[in-house]
Amino acid sequence: MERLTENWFSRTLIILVISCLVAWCMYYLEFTDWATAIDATPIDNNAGREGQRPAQALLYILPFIKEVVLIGVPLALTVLTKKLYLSGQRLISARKPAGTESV
Amino acid sequence: MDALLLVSFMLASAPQTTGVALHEWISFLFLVPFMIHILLHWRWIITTPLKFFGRSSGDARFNTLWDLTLYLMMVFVVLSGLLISEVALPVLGVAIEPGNFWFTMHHNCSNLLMPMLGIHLALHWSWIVRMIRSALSRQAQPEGN
Repeated sequence: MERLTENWFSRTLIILVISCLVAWCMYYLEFTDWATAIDATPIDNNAGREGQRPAQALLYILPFIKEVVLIGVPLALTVLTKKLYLSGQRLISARKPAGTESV
Repeated sequence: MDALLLVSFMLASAPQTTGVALHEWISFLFLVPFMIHILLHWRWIITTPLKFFGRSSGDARFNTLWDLTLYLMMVFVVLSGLLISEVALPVLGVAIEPGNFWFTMHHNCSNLLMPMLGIHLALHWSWIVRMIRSALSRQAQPEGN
């Protein structure tokens, strides 16, 4: 709790100021040719808008399944890759003959 | 707190389920645990970039870059969400003409944010497992001990 409350106001202010500055810089993307080109094309994605909410109970769950897959798969792959990499490193260092590590 | 952050993120990322109005208000509320998350990990945020150019492992460097990218993406998604707000900002008296650019950016970047969050969680996986284990062991201990 102490980690949270210690100078919380000044730290929150720093985060807010930095975030606002970053957002302000990002806002200028709107004036690029890229943004103008996207703005010229009609909106075809109405996902999540009122009146078009899924009627069946399953369709309420599907967005959460999508989130679990989109978060879970990269998480599992990264953890697996990291573990394989670390065990590979351990295997290589174990196979090295004694005395060669310090050279 | 981090579990609350994940749950609020998942709720905020499902406008098809909650509807646009609730999605916008939940997203506003999500900023509170997000801010607390940054405040709780303040020391790590301050010290890690300082070590970046010094003697730090490639793992730590990648971690720092990834967290910075995730933060920038989060700011971008919040900004684009504000700029296409249909309910929350008009209620607060701010009228905005939603543009296709910000709508497309918000939709695509929020989808991209999910795998980025997955990798972020994976990079801190050992810390997460340690925290869960210590919380479970604290719960298992009888009160008063």
